[in-house]
Amino acid sequence: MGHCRMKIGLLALFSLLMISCTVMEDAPLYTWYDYGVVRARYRKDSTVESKEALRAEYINIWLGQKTRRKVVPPGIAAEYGLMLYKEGNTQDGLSYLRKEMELYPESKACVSKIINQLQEK
Amino acid sequence: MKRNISLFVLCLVIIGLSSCSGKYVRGNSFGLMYEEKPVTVLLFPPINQTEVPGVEHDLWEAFYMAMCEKGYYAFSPALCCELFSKDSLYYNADSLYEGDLSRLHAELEVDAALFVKVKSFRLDKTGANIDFECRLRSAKSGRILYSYDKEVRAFAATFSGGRAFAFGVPMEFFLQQLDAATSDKLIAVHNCAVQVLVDMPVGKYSKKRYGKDRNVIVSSPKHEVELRL
Repeated sequence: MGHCRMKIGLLALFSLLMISCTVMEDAPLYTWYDYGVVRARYRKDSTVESKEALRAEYINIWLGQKTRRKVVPPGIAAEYGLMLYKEGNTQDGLSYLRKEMELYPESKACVSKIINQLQEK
Repeated sequence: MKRNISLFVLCLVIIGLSSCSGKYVRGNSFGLMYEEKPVTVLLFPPINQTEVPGVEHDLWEAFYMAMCEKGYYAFSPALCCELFSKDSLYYNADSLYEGDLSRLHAELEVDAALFVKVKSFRLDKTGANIDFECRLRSAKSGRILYSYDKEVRAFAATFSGGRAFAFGVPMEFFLQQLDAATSDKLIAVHNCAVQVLVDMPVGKYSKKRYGKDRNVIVSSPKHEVELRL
């Protein structure tokens, strides 16, 4: 009797597992590392340290995509390019901004507008 | 005993079939998403109607990441700020909430704009209750493609095997870098953004499911989905 109950219990557990698997969304598309936290920290306290942490995060994201798409998330290359450009590293900055347009052609109008605005300054 | 097992299996089949035949699926709840197929989404800074300062910035970044994870090209808040820096007209989420978005499409080739209103925000020990009004509007037609208007309960962290996760990523860094209240708030708003967008059909970068999720059951069918302006 106890054996049968255990079997039923296991069957129920297995069924629940199968149901939950079908409902679950897929794995993340991108590897964000600690972008959300580092970005928030930089926004709340723009120190040299928090800026360097954000730079390290951009590089991590750029080099270390391990999830489904294996492509850097939308906006990250442009954000890094923007940071470099504003620091005076205009060539590398523009290069990353252009990489954003290569990776995501639909960003062309917006990123081009940002480049124009930067060059007008 | 065989009878009991048969009964149990029958119950499972009935439950399974009844859940699959739900009236509210993404295809009929958010049909305009499949019709217009937006790719690029501009996120306006959330309109903060609460007395909690700064929550709109946390939400803005949370929604950006959540939209990207849904498979859309979402413009990050940092890029939006730069983009809007010379044109304050774009930046005014209040006036564009129900206003004309055609300029966004004509000048920036944006397909849709995401607006979020935060009506209330209460943080406690385990998470947050956030009352949202969220709508994704087409920049081409002005129609509402997706909307969500209700209170969300989000936990500060989801635990798996003793480790805290958000977006499926270990969150130890939260505990090291930010004070407890700030990290709780940040994790909670990220989880809220994911919940608000959970029923949204996936975008083109979610290749495996793009255009194939019409029959996915909407998880919160009680709220009425407004399909047109």
